[in-house]
Amino acid sequence: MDYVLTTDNVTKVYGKHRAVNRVSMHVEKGAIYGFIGKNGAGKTTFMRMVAGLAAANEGSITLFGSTELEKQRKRIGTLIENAGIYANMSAKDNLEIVKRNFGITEKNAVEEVLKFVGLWESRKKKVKNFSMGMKQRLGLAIALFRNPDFLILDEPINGLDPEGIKEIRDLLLKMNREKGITILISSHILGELSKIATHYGIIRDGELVDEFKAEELQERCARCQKLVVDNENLAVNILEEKLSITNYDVPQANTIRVFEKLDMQEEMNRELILGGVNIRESYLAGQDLEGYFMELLGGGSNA
Amino acid sequence: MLNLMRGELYKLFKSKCFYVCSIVLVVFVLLIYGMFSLADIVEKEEAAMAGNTGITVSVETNVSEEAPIWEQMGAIDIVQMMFSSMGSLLIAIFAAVFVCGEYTSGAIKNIVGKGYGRGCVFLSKYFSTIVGAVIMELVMLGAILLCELFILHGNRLNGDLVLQLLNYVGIQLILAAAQTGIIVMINQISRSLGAGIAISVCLIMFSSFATTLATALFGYFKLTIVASEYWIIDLISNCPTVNITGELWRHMTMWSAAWIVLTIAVGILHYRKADVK
Repeated sequence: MDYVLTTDNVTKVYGKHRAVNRVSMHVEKGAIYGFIGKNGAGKTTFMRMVAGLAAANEGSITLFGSTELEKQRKRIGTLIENAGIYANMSAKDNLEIVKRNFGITEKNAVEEVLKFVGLWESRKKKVKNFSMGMKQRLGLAIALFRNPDFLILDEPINGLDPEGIKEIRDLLLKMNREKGITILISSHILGELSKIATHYGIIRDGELVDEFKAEELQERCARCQKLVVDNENLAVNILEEKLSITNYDVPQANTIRVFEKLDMQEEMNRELILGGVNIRESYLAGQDLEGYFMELLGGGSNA
Repeated sequence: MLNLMRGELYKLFKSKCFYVCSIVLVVFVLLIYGMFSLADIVEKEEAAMAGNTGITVSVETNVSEEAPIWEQMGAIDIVQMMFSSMGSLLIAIFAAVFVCGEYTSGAIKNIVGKGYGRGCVFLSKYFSTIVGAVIMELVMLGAILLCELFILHGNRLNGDLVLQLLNYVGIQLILAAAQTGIIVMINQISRSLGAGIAISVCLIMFSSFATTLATALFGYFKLTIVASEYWIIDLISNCPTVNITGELWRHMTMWSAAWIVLTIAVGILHYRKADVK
């Protein structure tokens, strides 16, 4: 597997508080990796460490298969917390500074990137007069300036109206599809994230509790017959042999989730009892994405 | 590093603070010349009035015995007054805003972690701020020379003065570079606009008390160290305008270089590991 970013037990400690605790993340090339966690879970701190804005206390970071981070970070574009822009300057001036900093000599580089994010018409306007969405787009323009292979975006749709959210979403999909840019994106708006993410990482209290693909998420949220039994091996055998059920999983001991033949609940229960399995619970289950995420995040409403 | 310098210089010439501080310096120069011109006119009128009223009241005053104002206050004195007070103060404010602005706007994130070493990031800001400070001092000098030319009709501009100015301003520019370096280092560490400006202004205005106290303390321990001979702010305000010798040049250059090296070393050492918000 070709990974753009892998981390191994990365840890950041502030005083006695472990903001990020032994996080091992894997971001595949070409993926849009949705990074989800509550406020203060450690998302921004982790992203800042990857971007080189903060140093890790423990662990290692590998970018594009290399640990020479200073060199590899030239291939990264970042928009962390808020866009780093000078409010008293125009959008064009802000990008002229970035152009000089990166030593880009291409004459129309600023024009190209401003057109790409849809800010060319507002190029002469001072940034302090920009709307939140325009500022975010300018932040994206800065992140995109060196044609990065990997984008790190920390809550880029925060504070945007629905139209602004859609604009940014379309822009991210365009970057991912047209330029093949891998994106690591964090967001509180889980519904929005689920529209674009191909992979997910869940962080809770500084620890990465789960990593999975979008397809897995669909499966996990799919409707199923959930069976809690006293002997899952025996139950699985009965389901396979008597009812020819093959699409199931055993997420934890004594629990079976059956994803097919959901209209045969009564037969399932009957065969299991006849086969000597004691059934503790048997019910139709299924969750929406948000509910599933909330469960992973540990409940609450602050995700 | 060169790319970063180009970016920093672009920022410098787009910086509102740079222009505002430079304009304030020019306004102060104009105010000083305006004030002295007014005093000169009043003094001449008083002198012309004496004896024309028919009765001469013989009250002994200092005014009639003193030389005219423009003789008391030479061009080099105005240069000294501006360089050692308002110049230093406004350069400190400019440097604080120029450095801390990176952190308040968050734009520092566009440079740090983008393939440049932290040392390069620090140095580019350090030297570009010094360039700004030197330009501000030259603008101030230019304003003084223009005032001499247009207000005093260039009467006092002669070869000796130019030589004196070259010597004095040359030393002041070297010292200003070191002073700006100290301010940059402080602000790179504080990263807070309010704190940065407050510390910088206090440093310019009150650090001489500290050096006086330090000298007294050294004296108490029977040490003959005069702290103000090594502290940049004191060197700027105590720099003589006449009899500038090679020895003085060496002393000033050496201490300026020492402070520059020290502030760069401390700044980079701190900046290397510091987290950027």
